Amino acid sequence: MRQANHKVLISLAATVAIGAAGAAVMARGPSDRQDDHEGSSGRRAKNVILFIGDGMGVSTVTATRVYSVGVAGQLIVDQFPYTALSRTYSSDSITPDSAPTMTAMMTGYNTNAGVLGLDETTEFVDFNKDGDGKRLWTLLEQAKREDMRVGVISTARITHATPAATFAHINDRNNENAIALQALPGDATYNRRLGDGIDLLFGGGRQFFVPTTTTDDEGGSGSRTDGRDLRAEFQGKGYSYVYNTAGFNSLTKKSLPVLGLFERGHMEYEYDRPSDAGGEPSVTDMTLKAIELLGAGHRKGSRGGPDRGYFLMVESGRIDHAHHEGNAFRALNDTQELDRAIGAAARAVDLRDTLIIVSADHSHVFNIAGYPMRPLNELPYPVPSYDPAYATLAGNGILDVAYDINLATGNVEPSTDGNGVPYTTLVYGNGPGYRGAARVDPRMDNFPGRGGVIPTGPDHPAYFQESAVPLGSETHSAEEVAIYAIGPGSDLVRGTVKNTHIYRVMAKALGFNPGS
Amino acid sequence: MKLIAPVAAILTAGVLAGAAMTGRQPAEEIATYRPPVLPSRTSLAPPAIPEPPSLPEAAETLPPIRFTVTTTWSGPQGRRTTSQQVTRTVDRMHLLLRGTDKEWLFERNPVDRRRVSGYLIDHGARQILMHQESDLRNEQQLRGWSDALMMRFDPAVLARLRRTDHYDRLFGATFTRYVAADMKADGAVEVWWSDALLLPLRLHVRQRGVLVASVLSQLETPAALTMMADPRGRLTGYEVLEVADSRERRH
Repeated sequence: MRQANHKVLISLAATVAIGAAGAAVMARGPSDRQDDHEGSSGRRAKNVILFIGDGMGVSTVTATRVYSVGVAGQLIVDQFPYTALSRTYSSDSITPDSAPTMTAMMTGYNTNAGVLGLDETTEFVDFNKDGDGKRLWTLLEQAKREDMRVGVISTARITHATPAATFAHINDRNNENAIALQALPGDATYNRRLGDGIDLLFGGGRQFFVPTTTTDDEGGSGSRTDGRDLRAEFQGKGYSYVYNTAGFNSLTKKSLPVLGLFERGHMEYEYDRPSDAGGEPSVTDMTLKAIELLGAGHRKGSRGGPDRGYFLMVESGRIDHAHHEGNAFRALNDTQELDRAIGAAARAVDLRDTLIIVSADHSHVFNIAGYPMRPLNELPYPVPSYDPAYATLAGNGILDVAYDINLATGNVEPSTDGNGVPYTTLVYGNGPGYRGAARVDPRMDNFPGRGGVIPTGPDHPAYFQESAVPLGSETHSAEEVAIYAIGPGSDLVRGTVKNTHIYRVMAKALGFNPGS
Repeated sequence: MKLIAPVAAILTAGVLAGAAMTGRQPAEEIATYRPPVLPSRTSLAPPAIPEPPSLPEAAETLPPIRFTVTTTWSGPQGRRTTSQQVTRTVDRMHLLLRGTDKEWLFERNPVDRRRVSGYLIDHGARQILMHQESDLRNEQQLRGWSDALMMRFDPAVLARLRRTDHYDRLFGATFTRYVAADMKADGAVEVWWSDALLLPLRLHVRQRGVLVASVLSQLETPAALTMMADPRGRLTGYEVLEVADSRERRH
């Protein structure tokens, strides 16, 4: 149990440290400090776009590359000139969740599991009953203070941990009714650091803007227990509100500020998106629209003046959900769509004045196993013979069983386990795909997939990749994730760094003083 | 902080204004600037997802009804039986899964009445798991409201069966017997169907050597419909989660 005055001491110590060093690194020990590489190119970016793939670990990027463009192909992120490895641990966990990791990327400070925008003296739901710690400044708040335009996009709920970490300060990431209010100008709990408000919000999560007693635009019910309809309240503050593709397509620069809530809960997986009742924009659509709207000019009622650029955060939030389900198919499809969005953005902006950073909040226990051979048409040598199915590998080989050459016969055939049974290239360390000793050839596996559907093979949309440990839900993992960067200031992205470094790169590029 | 912030803002603004946005970027880098190349994607486009099925006119005038569904699976692995109490109105469907501490409530979408969403109530965990339409489609194989309403039976199947003269009358409705030409083939082999109630009184389906038999009994008008209310209001103190979030165990 901490003493009640503990936080006061921490705050004083932090203030002294900031004053002495001129830098706002509130690290716990030497090992933390070593994670942050200093350095400056002295450059300035006009705009910054931060893309986050929720749960998009290195193995997810690799698997998506094979799936999308072939193992030797290049995703958009592969073309970015600067890369680094990002350490993702939170102040209290080896393996983190999205709340502290996105807080770290948005503020430069590490914090605890489940906590958004508050320092590491804050526990999840304040379980020590000693009050919350310091409210950290997020890059979005700093950008708003500098009269930049700011936007937040997520395919998850807009009040979910990753997008919420850009604008909210709360000790419980699950209190999304309260998080929504922190973005509503004029509300008693409004985050006043946001000035006249976030200029653009696109995502899901309409339920936290609609009362439980009200049917929303697409026929769902709300989750607000205070009876308030925030859709109307945001519109009362000058926001344009849209909920479907028709409204989305009608948005122009004059529409700012904009609130787009395209789903009652999370937006659909990219694979399922065509089925949505009102129609949903893709993450690529939302990114391009945001660049168009934020890219020049001013929102109605603003004080005008020189164009100071924009900060935009874009999250592909459902890569993580697909992994939790043990369903690589949807994880790869959503990652591919995120890469499309990054490519569209990189071509829509001027990379001489816009910094683009891509990273993930954490990884998953997702891996690429065995020694799978490349597809037949990619081999640099002829093979004497092969199983017929090898000629039509699913997903360029990544969504199939692993094939290898039998050196005794020269035949390319499925690799097998100790019992002579083939196995898939993609596997999970834990999750719902556990078969145990009863595992069979994945191509003839009757193990029920999503919804009890018997998949026709490992490339079926319902397929659960095999897992080693039986869990109802697959888990995050603690390994590093990648950072990819292009544009002014991107040269600071190098080495192995703590994820707080991402904030520092963006802050330096924009000329902000870290943490204030 | 309030006093210091404006000063800092002015100073920072001065720095920003003084620094040409691209002025400090190496000339060589500017000269060699190339936007990324969009790759050719080789992944196949996902198949189109069919629209939710439309509903027969009778779906708009159904009387409230409560009944028990007993389902028996018989096959090489043995025999297994489950029982559910079902309460149905024109826009709600409640399943009480007997022998478990779980219940389902499906809600018809009031805007697009072919669509459905639902709640899985887990009393043991004191959780209410919200399911969106795509969750139900992917995880429960419900294509829309029609699949909930008709106990996952698709009346289009009747066109492939032979209508017989046999019928049964229950709850004021006539259930007509349909049979398959080949009683040993996979698929529905016998159905007692009511066009008025949109329910299969008896349904026999053969799946990979397993015979699944569902029988409705105790058809009655429900005395109360309290279970049809939004469970988030009815079960205060329960944690409410989207099913996607329930998989992230810690938070």
